Amino acid sequence: MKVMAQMAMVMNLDKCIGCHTCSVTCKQAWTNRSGTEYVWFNNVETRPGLGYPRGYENQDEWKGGWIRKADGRITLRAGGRFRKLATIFSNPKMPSLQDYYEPWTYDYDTLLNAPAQKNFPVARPYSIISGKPMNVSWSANWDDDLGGSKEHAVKDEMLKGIEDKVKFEFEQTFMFYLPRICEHCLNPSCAASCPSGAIYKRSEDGIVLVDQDRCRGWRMCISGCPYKKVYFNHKTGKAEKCTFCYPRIEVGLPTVCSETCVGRLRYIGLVLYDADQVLAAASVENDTDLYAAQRACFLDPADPEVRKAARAAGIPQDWIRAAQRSPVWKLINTYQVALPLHPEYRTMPMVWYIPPLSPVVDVIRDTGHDAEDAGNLFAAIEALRIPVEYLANLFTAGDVAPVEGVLRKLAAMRSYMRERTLGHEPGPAIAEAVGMSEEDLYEMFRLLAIAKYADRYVIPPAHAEQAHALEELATDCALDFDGGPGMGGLGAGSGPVGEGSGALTPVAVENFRMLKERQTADSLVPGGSEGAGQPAQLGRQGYAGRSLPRRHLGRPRREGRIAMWRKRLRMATSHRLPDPQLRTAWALAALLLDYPSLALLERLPLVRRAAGDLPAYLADPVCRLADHLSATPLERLQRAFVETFDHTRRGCLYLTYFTAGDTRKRGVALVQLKQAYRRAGAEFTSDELPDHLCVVLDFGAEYDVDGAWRILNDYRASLEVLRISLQEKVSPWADAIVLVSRTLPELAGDDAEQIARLIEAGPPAEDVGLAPYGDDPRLSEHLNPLPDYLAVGADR
Amino acid sequence: MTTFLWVIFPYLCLTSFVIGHYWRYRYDKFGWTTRSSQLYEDRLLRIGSPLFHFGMLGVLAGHIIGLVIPQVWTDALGLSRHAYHVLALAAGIPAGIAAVAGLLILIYRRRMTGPVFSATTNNDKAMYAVLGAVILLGIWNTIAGSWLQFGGEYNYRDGVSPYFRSIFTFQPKAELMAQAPLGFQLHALGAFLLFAMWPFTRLVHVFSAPIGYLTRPYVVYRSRDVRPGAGVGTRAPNPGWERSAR
Repeated sequence: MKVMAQMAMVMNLDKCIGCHTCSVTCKQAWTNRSGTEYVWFNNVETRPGLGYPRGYENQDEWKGGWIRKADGRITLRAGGRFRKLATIFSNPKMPSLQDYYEPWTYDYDTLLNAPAQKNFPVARPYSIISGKPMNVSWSANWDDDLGGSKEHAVKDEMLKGIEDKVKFEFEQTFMFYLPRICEHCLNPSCAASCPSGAIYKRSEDGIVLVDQDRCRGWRMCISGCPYKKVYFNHKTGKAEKCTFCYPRIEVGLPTVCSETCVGRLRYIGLVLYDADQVLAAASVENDTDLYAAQRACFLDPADPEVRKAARAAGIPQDWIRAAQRSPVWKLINTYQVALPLHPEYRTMPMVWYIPPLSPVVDVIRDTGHDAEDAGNLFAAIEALRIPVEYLANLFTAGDVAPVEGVLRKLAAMRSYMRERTLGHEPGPAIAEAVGMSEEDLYEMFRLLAIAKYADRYVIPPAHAEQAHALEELATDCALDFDGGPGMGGLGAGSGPVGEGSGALTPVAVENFRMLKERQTADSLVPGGSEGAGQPAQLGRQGYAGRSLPRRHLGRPRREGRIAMWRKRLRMATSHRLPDPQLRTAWALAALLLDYPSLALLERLPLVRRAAGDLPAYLADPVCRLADHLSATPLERLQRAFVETFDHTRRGCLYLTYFTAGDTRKRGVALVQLKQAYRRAGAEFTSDELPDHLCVVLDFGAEYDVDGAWRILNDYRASLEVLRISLQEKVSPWADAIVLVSRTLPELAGDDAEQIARLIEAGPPAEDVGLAPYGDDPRLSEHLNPLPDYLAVGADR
Repeated sequence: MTTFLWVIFPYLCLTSFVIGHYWRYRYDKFGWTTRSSQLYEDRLLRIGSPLFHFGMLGVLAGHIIGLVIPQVWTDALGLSRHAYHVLALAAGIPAGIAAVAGLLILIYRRRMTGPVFSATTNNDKAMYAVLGAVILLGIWNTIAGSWLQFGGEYNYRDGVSPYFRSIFTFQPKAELMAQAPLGFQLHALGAFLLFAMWPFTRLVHVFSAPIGYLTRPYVVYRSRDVRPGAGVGTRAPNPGWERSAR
């Protein structure tokens, strides 16, 4: 027994909506190059239909896959080694471009550069191959959604023998979608057809790939594949095929088609199989036995014997565990609802399908019966809109029994879940009617209907530590050489000109996970993309922990480091109120700056009492404001509040607004504030922005005085601008700002200058990306003055 | 002049042949392909390509027998000069005609089929020119020279063949070639030129003739090896792309 592991996929056709997202994303990732315009590693076919390329399933014509000879051995249908060499000069069975389609583009130039004219300019289709105008007559999914079915779909190879069962009249026809990728077969006929041995199957995960350096362009693999999933790149002269997104699989990500599948119908997981049995399984006499024979090759990962053999064969422990959790194993072997595509080609395909249940419920309901009663459903399986024979031709070489079994299980699942949802206790009867246990039926429902991403794609990352593959980490001390993790400074993985320079970063799994965490985490993740575990460097705050030139974002350029140190010194040595008083003052200010409400008014007595503990120069503004609040009618207060704080730029209570304005830097500043809160143990959950003055004050009062002290001093300028602006307007709330301002150190020198400058300039506006519009008069305020209440500086 | 044409030039060309192939295999495996145009047009190809290629195989066999195997060996086997001559023509002329016919079909197809012509590079065109000239000269030599014997009787196995073998023993007998008829001389010169440019054209696909397929197991497996300086992968990294060393 030679145990090997294979990445396999199952697609649930009940859920495919034919959106072709998988095709488009795969094309964007892999085949949007010249030479691969007609290549669709993933394509979606409407069934009944011709498929892509047209009629590929007719192996009598195309001679793909294997065939069993009279003596019991299998050989390539297109001929063995001698035949291949003899026909190597012109592959007689290779599809021509017309069998695929002639790729085209449109003459967009005409549309973009057409002069003014009476008739609308039209972009004609031009062939990408010949460069001449062409009439588009076929494409990769020309018969999508049964387009032209009376002409095309009637020629569907799978309809042979059941033509009478299928009608193409509108209300009687059927349709489902069949997304296809390379099957990554256990017995790949493409690899066998390659005269130069350029196509190989990877031992670790069974992915079949074309070595672009070894391919010599003999193009025998194109006809060798019965699914026609190897394509010829007509520019490079080499064969290309679906790669199962192996760079993604190796780091534990699902394939692009699976990741982007809108219907969430794909499952990826490991299957352990016995490589010694594959040839025998592929050589069984009857085509209809191939499904069972292939399943018999698969090994149960829960079986201790199998596990032992797998370890002996070098399969890593976490791979074995992944095989045990594999959704593909469950669907193929535990629930047995997945079927292979065209097993009769004898290639042992490893992308299986769950056949679709036809929309049978409506039909039954229309007859007056209870549509989802198990008995009725089972009976209806016989008369499904999609003929079982059609599905059998696709998935079991014509044997209807397994297909019926699968459909009955799916119907039973529906019936069972319906009973449970209605609150009835269905008991094990429904499940036993289809040979499953109740738990299994329910688990199958969960897997098919509501499984999450991590349950649908169980992909163990590739292992690189066979020997000392992780050389840079495993065998030496990382500090022995430059650029290792843990080495700080320039050598720390990044080069002298920032993150992108320096030595190549090995694509280890750790780096990938670090990057992913950085992209999705709420907080700044320590370490850049260079080394795992690099600590965040203080004083080098930059976006997401990357090293940046030393600039403090959100502050005017002129404040150099010396000025900053001077200020910190001043802050440290200036007279600062004792913490309890600071807390009280800030809490009072936060309260008083709140939107006036009855609740606020009720607390005014408390406010006055608390102010009694403060020195006079702080208590006075509090009492003045409190008096005003209690003396004025609430409605007037509220109106005044809104007019003061919500309508003008200089009256806004957001501290970073005045220093960062509407630029990107504001976002960074907000993140840094959130960080500060979090460091002090405060979880910021409000809807309000973190730089709202009241939030900062509350933070200081309740959590971290020092933290709030630093923040308020950093944004002192904003505070002062606000104070001045409120005082100019003779607003009663100026007292609250005065209160806060008086708790902070006296202004001197730099700060006063800065404030004066800020007042003159106003908050910065974003200008990145606006250069092309620089000349647009509509954006120039001199020529197009905004109305008074919106104009810049209107509130000065 | 004799020395240049029959000593210096051949050795230069053969050097280019050898070193060029080494370079190509080491650095441009990705470009080493037939660049088959069957996808664009397969009707004419179905006829022209096997005709040309099988014809060329016959021509190649004939050249090996005629140039490499010394006359004394065939004499010793009991094959008289005349018998050899008849055999050579009986086999050679059909092979040659097949090759020429196939080549003409292929060149016609390449020029007159839009997509195929667009995919033809200048390198290809240069190669076709030289290859075509060499082949045409060859068929001329066979028909006009050996068969119809214009310009008198000439046994190339007395002149050209010993010269050819002498190149590889590094004692070139240039005077033998100098005395050969013009047709043979031009054919030889053209052939040397073709050899010189061979490794830089699509003709390299000839050396990938997949003879190994006859004895290879059908399905190839590969595992990811660990290579020092390269980490994991199924191939060694290109020079300059290794992981940075200690």
